Amino acid sequence: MSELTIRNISKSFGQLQAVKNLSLSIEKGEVFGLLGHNGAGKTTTIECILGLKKIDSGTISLLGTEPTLNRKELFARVGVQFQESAYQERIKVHELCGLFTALYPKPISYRELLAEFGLMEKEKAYVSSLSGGQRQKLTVVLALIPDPEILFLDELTTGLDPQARREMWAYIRKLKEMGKTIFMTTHYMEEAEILCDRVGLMRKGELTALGSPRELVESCNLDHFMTITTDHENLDFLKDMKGVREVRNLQDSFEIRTSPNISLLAVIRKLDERKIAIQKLNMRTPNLDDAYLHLAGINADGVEIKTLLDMQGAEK
Amino acid sequence: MKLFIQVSLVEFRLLLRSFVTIFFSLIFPPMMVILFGSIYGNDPAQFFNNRGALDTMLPGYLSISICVIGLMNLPISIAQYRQRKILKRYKATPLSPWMILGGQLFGSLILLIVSVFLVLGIAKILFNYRMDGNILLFILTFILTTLSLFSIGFLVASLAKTEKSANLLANILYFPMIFLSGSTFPSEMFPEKMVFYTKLLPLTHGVELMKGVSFGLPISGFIPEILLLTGFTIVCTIISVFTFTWE
Repeated sequence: MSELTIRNISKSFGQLQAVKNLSLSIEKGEVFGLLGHNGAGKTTTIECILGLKKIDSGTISLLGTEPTLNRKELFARVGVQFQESAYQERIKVHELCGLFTALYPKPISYRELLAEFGLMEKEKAYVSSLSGGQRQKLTVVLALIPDPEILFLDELTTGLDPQARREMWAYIRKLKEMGKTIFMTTHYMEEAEILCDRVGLMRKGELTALGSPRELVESCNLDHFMTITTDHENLDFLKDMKGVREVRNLQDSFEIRTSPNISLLAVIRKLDERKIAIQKLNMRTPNLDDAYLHLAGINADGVEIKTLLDMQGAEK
Repeated sequence: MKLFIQVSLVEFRLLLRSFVTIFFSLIFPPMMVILFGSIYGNDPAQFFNNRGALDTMLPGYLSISICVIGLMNLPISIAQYRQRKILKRYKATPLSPWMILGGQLFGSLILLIVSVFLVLGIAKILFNYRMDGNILLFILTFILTTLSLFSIGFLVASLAKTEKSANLLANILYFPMIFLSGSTFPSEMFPEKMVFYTKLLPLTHGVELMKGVSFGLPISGFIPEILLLTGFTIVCTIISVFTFTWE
């Protein structure tokens, strides 16, 4: 049975439909990433799943229970990290951890968790004195104290420096190996690609794409880019090859845009036939970032394609 | 129950770290006792209808603590917990968010009790404070006054949507309340014209009631005060229950 099953949920705030007819199912041990811009409805979705927001329609089953019922039993098995977590003013780290420990039937030792996250020396410090990264780590420690079966992480690494982010990733991988189910939201495609078994893309409250990061990238059928540095002055002849879409002459190299199924070897053979020496060769295959922008309808300059088309339409 | 005590103790400890709360609940009232007692002593004075100055003023000083804890600290911290999504965070745990509010209330009550003993102790030791009335009856009137002011505190917490507005509202209510109700300055010194306005403050009636009972006057003479305070408590509580939001 799935750890989380969502069927056709919708949630509106007045005129704004924050979540539209969303369905999703998450298996045990899976790391699922929900992607989307700010305001796409990611946080609202989490809040609905946790029963913090009442859904207008649809059904949710979290660890086999309807989340607004039996909250006490349910939340003993769920770990949560909210995007904007604040705690009591003037509370110290160990007091907060002690309080959370008292809330759960089978807590993990918070001192072990603090040590794991390098916060041991902050045990007696005020929460308000922690840096942004430390505070974020503390919210994860608190989410882990219940030894949860399923963990919700809302924009866990937003605002963290690159090193802290990588530490966090390593930790999440460890949790995954331990068999925890994780539901996360993120803005970082790299993060989703590294951590998530499956990702879902949300746009204006709707789930518009769902699959493994690889499936998502492949489904977009995006062009590949090859950058070749050579003394040769013109590579335009490559345009005649099937699958080559564009050859751009950059300052000291050529950028060749190809369809995803072209053989790299064929291109190199063609160059070799003409005795063109390749000094440097660089391949860039599309990643989740490209797929995300494509699926979200945004071009490489970050402008929404749809808006652009609308503007062109208006000009005509 | 164990959990509730733990939550309350944490909230109590947090209260002890707030300077404003500590100043007005644990330092200011004893300071008033010492200041007022040193100036006027506690011998029967004509101005106080042949009672000791301190014997007259003590119930008022006790009510200052009720005010700062129930009317200032409580609504501001509830509004803060709501605005900073602290209540929401606890909603995603097995703990009922009511428990956090209950913990705040209970922590506040512990602080209030500490403050009462401090004020009474200093008044007794330094100025030989004497209560003519029935102590049990006095405790009951103190509880009634506490309930009515805490209910105003909850009303402020329910009506104010942000920490800032709670702060503003609490301050608007708090300062007139402690200076005009006879708790800081003796009501005997207010001019005739002002007395009418001071009657608009619920604490004025609380102070009058506690004073009367501590003098040993018959409780039957204070029915209007008792009804007023009870009514006030009920109305404020009902409104705040219906207007309270978690987010």
